[in-house]
Amino acid sequence: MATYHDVLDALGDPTRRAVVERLAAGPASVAEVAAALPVSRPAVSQHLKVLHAAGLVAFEPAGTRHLYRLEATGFEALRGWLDGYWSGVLGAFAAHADRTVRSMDENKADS
Amino acid sequence: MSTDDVLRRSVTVRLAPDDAFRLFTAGLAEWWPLDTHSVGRVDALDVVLEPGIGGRLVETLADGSAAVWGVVTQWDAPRRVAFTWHPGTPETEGTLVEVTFRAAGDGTEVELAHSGWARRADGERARGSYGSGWELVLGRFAATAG
Repeated sequence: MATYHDVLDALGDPTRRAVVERLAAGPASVAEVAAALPVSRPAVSQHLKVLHAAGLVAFEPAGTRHLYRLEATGFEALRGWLDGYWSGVLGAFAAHADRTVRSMDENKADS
Repeated sequence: MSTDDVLRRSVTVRLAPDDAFRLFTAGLAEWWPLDTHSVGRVDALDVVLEPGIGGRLVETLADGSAAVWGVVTQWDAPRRVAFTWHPGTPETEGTLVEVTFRAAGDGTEVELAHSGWARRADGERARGSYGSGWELVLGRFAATAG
């Protein structure tokens, strides 16, 4: 099960982001991805393995090779993380606003 | 992915729109959870949202360096503020955050919308291709801000 940590780690590498960019244009084999990038085939295979573990990439057999494509799972994990990120920001804002209101109320009660 | 283009979150507070807007912008450092939501995390000292269009959203770190998170693109006090959002990444890869303040009962509803994949140079192409646009931008954002 991919977590957003896996996704963040996987997308933290610029070459892997380039691999994702390439697959965004359509499914491709290792050789096709390698042809689009200044990276060797073994290196591309390694990057695809990491992206697959993070749930960002899936593959299926096509004759003697594998065709890789983008997979929603990892992106959904990331989306969930971002939802939590902004919920954290707004939650902190609301908590502080509450404290502000309460201290204004107390000041009113004191005067 | 039409409904996924924008990530929306909202919260209602008991402050009037004027006060809510002021707290969100001028008072940002008072409430922003810097220890978890910043480039420097525990080494983050301060964050400022400079008022007005072109103002920067900038974090100060313990070593004295600064990290610009974004630049204000809309300033319509006390109704709306919008800024680009690219903590740790080049501005060209920035996404957009819009915060809207609406009177609601005796308080204010604050809605935050995070979008911007369509601002990419290949936005039109990305629009029709799952995973290439918004999701990838989110990835860039999260990889650096996470």
